[in-house]
Amino acid sequence: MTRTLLFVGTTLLAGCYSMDIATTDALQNSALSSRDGKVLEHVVVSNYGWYLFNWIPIACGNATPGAFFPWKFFSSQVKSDLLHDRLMTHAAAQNADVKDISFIRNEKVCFDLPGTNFPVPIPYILCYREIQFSGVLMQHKDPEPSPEAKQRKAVEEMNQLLNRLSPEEEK
Amino acid sequence: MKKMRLLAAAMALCAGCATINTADDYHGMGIENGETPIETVEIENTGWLLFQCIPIGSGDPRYPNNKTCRLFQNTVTLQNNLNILKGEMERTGATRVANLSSRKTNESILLILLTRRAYHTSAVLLK
Repeated sequence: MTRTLLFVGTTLLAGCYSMDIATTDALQNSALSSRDGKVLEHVVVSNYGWYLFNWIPIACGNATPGAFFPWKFFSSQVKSDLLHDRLMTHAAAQNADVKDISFIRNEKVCFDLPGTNFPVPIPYILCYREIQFSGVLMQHKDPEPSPEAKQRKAVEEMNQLLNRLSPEEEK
Repeated sequence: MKKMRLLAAAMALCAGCATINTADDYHGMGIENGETPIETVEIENTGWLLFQCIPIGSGDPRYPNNKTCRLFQNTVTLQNNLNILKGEMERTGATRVANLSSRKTNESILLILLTRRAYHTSAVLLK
């Protein structure tokens, strides 16, 4: 019984990694006349965790790809590069470009005494940290070549054509 | 009877709310390469959870700004916020969205006893 309670308590208290994905037909049709391309989906990636003395990770949501357990102990998983990587990996899997990226970081270092409005007098004993990334996935479009690149390509094509023609002229 | 009233009051306090706030005075300024914006929208849907997993009440995304809620259901999702945004786009005749971003917030009472969860979405609607 104690073990079960401990397990349930740990599960509820520990951090949580989540990737929320949503789309609507209004969003998908919203950029029809736009140069940006078609909207695929709106994604929010978030992870939070608890730290002792603002430094030692106690329990965080498990943001490792393919993780079995939703939480991870004594390992800092609330990292911007880790979550950014998850968002970009998802975008790459969808063959999409990411637009409107926003980065939100939330931290709490003071907590109230249980059942009161009085804060624990010493901050940074227990810290809560959270990172979120929000973005819009757009259908991937190859970038428009620059005028110089276009000119270079035209010259190359012309040279190829001349090379092909020159042996016939010799005959 | 008194207990029932107290319970009803407690339930009302713990119920969520879906709201949509808009601002449309741009003073003639264009955004995003001079395009004409219709309005800036902020959508919020809130709900209360017991032990972070049992929903007590949350806002009704079908009727934002109507102080209606759904009991024992968790409607605080990104999809519902986008559905509210879609309704606003249809209402205003907007055809495009710019600067779409969302975030989640959690406020807890006694660590996990009661949690107020909210999903915020903001965007600029364009013609």
